[in-house]
Amino acid sequence: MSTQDGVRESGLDIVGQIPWGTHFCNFYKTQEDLSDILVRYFKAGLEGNEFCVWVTSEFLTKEEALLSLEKKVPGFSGYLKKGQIEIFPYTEWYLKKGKFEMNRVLNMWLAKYKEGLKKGYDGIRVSGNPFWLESKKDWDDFSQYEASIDNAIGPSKILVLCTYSLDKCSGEEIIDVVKNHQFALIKRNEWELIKSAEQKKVEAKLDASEKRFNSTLDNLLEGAMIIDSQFKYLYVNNSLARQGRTSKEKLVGKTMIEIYPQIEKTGVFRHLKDCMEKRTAEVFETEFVFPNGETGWFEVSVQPVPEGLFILSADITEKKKVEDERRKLDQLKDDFLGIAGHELKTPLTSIKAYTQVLYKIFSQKKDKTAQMISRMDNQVDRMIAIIRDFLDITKIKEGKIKFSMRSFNFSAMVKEAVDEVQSISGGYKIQKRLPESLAVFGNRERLEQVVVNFLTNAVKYSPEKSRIIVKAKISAENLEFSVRDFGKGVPEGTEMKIFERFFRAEEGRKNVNGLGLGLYISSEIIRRHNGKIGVRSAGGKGSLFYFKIPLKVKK
Amino acid sequence: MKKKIMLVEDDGGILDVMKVVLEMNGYEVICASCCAIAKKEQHKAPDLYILDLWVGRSDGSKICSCLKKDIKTRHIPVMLVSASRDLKAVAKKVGADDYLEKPFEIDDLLTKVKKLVRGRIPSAG
Repeated sequence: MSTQDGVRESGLDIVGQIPWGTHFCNFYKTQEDLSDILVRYFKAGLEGNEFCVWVTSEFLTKEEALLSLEKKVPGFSGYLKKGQIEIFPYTEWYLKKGKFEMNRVLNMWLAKYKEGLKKGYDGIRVSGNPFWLESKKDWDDFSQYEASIDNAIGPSKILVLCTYSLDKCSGEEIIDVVKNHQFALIKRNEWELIKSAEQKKVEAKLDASEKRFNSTLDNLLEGAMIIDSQFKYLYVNNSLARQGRTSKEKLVGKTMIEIYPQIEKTGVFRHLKDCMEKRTAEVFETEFVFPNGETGWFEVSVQPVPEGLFILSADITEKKKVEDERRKLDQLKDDFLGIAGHELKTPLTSIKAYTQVLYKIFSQKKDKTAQMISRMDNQVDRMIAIIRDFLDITKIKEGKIKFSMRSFNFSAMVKEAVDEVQSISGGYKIQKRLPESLAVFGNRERLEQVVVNFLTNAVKYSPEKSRIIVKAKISAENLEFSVRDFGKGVPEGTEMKIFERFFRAEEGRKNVNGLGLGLYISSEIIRRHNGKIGVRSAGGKGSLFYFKIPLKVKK
Repeated sequence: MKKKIMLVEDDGGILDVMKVVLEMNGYEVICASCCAIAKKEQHKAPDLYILDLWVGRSDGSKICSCLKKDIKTRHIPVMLVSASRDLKAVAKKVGADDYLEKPFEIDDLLTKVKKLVRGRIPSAG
């Protein structure tokens, strides 16, 4: 009878429980020894709902096997009648077609295995006896077959017991047999279990490693579980039980559907079902509603394993809550800025227009009124610049700025921008070092915004009217653009910070419009072109602002 | 004969100052603070419409579309005015002849108006 999934009763006291896939052997001297072992072995199989196949030899024939079974197994005729046990003489199995063929015999076993599963048995328990082996060649062939069995049965639900006559085996042959089996049984007064030293070492290592693995898994911060194809919990660690608001004992052996009756309708279950059917791995985030109405967010990683699925899950409910709050606040803030910006522009429009009307009226008079009104107009412009920055930043953050990309002449655009800045910044000598034509793929308007931003910065931060050099060139598949000024330069250590939001070099604060968002906006624009933006400063000798964008834009 | 401009704008302050500026520069201005009035006054056939993008509950872009679809009005130039940054795209979409972003320089307003009404024979009535 099975006690735990995958573990079977061998029926032999000295062996105890064995997992599916066990392939072991026994050396016998007398017919009594052989019969004793095999009857107990098959009795356990029959009682444990296993399909049993026994291939007999001349040493203990089919008829003798049936007699022993009938004598020792209660209700044997019933098992025999319903076909739970089949007994073949070796001539109808190993030597069915006159000679031994390894693949044919392996396939016969696998066919019986499938038949057994189809009939509804838990698995198959078999035994064979190579008493018929005569020549050296027979031995070698059979030895190769024995070595192949482990690969052939793999993780299948098969138990194999091979029986060898001790008298027929030479010393060398015994070594072969022991090597090809996980362990051997031999009778010297009492039954003894023999394992090769190699096997013992491997098992000890496996055992230690499994213990270490289990203890790691048990105490992992993430929840871990193994479920079978029926979504039954085979293994559950401590964290998982906590996450599931229950205990390990309540979960193991039950199916997910029994524990969470509504789970079949959830997204989590659909994911798991998908992984189970397609045998694929997946990582996903999901919200889970517990039977008591509580909800939680989990990051789940699913991996198919022979038993079913191995699932890791991390409780990310708190993280989700924080993210959600932040997203809501961000949205609120952006909405507010957007509306406030628009609403502020409306009164400013009339203030500005009135100011200019007044300027026109007073500009004919010879007093200082017009001059004062003009200053007023400048202040209004300053406020408008601040609002524009606000709106740009909200849009950039919302990803609302549309970047329609096309090919255009970069040099022509720079010339226009330089002319525009030059016209309002008389006294500066802006030198252009540009190729006549420079085809660039990008958003003309937004790149112009960056160029104008660099130029106006150069003007703002070099109050002594001096030279500004504007350069553009192609270098290694990139467009390189730079604006060099000879002003105060960027304060040391702030080269990276100036592209952040709201940063402005303190010294240049006077006479500067806007919020200092210009470079931040520029860096966002360049980022959207898959480019790089930066500044090199030479202390008090000015600074060089540059950007690079790839000429071929990857879509 | 003075050129006639119909101004549709729901902000009283802006409406007022634009009227002052345009009248100072020799235009006749008919004001409407909402679409209903603008439609009622439509028979007066101006030489130029200046429409705010958001007029009360309706919006200037819709009026523009209507004007441009109607065979009787489609020849009259339309200029959209707004604080919205999408103005350029909207103007193109609804077939406006020009647009002006708020807040504006009055010189820009006058240049654009002059260009739009230039060559048009002043409407009768």
